[in-house]
Amino acid sequence: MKLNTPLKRMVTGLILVAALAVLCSNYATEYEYHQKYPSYGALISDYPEGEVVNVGGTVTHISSSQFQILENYHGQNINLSINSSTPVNLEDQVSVVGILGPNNTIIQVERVEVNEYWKYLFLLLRSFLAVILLIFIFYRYWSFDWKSFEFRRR
Amino acid sequence: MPDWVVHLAVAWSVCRILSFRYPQFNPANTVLVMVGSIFPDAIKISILTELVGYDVWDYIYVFHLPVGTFLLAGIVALLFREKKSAFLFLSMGIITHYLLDLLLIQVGYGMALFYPLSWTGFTLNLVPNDDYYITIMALFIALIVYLVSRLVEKRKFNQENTL
Repeated sequence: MKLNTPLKRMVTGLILVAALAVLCSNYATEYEYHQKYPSYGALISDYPEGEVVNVGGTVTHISSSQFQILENYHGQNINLSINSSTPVNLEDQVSVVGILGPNNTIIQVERVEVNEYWKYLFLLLRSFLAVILLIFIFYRYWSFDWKSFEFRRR
Repeated sequence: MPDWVVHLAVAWSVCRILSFRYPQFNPANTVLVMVGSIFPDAIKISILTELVGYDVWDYIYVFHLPVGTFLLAGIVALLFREKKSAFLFLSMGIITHYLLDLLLIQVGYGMALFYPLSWTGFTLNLVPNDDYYITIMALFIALIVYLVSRLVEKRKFNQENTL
């Protein structure tokens, strides 16, 4: 099919957007059932105590043998305590695989990955600068023709 | 994700190398590959929505899976006069993105590259998410590619002039 008229392009675009929306909806409803370990959805619905779970969040409180993380799960704030002496700082992003105990506590950590907050901010900063540069380069080689509503080579 | 500097530098380097043999990898098409290389990170919109208290991560995660990203590329390609070639060059960038993301350490599960056919997660668990040594390495490689390509172009120019 030649997509040479605005109507054909619009119809094709709508079909693709609809397909994307269907996939997004399917993924959001299904993914928790296909994860290797249960996560926040299972924590809320049936609290799989004693099972290995995979959780993540931002470090909000640190003590000698434990730290707390906070995650906004679909608008609901969930606090978890992690029994671990892994060195972390406030605001670090932590991802943990471990055994879920009572009172929203991970009692035994099997695997943990810490992303330091400053490194995260640095990553955002350099990515932001890179995208500014990309926009500049893009418009050097391409221009948008509003009449035909499409990009053309300069 | 490795940061966007890595994705863009790798996409540019690959195109620059390919341009020696294939003239299709001209600067305009190279830019398309570079744009495609950060397409899967359209999911990072969720960072902005999180700032205002909305967690949309799971709802748009498909953007960061090949099927979703290629659909997104298809939608964007409609905005180009040469739709087919735009889609192909964007897709090439998308592929470089996933190859790089495969290197990342993922504690829980890898990327479901073949969703919706399979939910199997893939990861090589080699590089931390926020590692910046890979950025330095990618920029260094891009610099080497740039210098070598300049040298090759100069030699070609000299040869053509002597003939």
